[in-house]
Amino acid sequence: MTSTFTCYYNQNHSKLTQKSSVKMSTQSLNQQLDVFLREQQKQAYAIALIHVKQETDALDVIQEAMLAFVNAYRNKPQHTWRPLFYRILQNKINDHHRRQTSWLRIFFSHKDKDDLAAEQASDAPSPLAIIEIQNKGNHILNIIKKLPDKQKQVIIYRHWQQMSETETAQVMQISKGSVKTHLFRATQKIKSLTGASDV
Amino acid sequence: MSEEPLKQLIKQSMDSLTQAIDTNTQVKLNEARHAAIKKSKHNYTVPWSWLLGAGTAVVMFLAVFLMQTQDAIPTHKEFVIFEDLDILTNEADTDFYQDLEFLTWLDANNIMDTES
Repeated sequence: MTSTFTCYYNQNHSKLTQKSSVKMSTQSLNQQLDVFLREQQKQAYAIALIHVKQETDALDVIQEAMLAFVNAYRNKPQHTWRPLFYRILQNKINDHHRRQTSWLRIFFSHKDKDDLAAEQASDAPSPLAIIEIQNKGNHILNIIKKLPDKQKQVIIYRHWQQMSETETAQVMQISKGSVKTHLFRATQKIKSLTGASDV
Repeated sequence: MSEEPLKQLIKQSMDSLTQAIDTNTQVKLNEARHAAIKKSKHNYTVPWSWLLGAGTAVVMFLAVFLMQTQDAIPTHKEFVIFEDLDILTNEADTDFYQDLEFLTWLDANNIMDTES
């Protein structure tokens, strides 16, 4: 009788211990996620802002990217979080561009191209423009903004985020050869616009 | 020409972009981060143990209730027993039943006496 009771007690106690340890590991994982996202959020916001050009849109993209990352990749090894997070961020930026394009196409489809260009142009400077005005000597930023999307991304992830070719290819979902090609073209373009003597 | 100075220049430009983020935007980024971790589907646990316990309790309650209602409906055998009980508990004099054979015989003799 006593042994039966002891066995029953031990089984229940071990179950309770397992539940509490699972709860604690979930909390510690949430803390690690919080630390990681806190380290990346400013850089991710800057990348989003360069691509979408509006502050509210950039914040929306960041929110979507963070939620998607936590839901999909929280249980992945921590050393893989960084390329996975920026891959999701890039996908959300691409989704944003597609939504903008389809919305504009539907809403402005009956108007002329010149009227469309006039309506789409905003008189108010974007936050990115304000930052650029404030950093008058930051000519490079203006050049990066004007690059084609793939070249812009490869410059950001290779030179600013210091990612490897493999990680950059994973983020941009292209081959390593394409990363090299885009990087070469972007570098050449920046050099030509800044002047070879400046760099 | 080395690309190292260009890399440094690009890095400085992008770093200046992050440093220029205002406080209001930083607060919103913090809120987005907290909301993402809080809303994560892994943080919501379905209380399966509670549901299982409630279901078991309901089943047990129904079983006990059905057993109780079945006990309240008497069967044919119990009806017969009730009849016997009614007879047994009757306060009428039971000597009548003990002399039943005699009384039957007497009744028959009385009839015979009447005829004679």
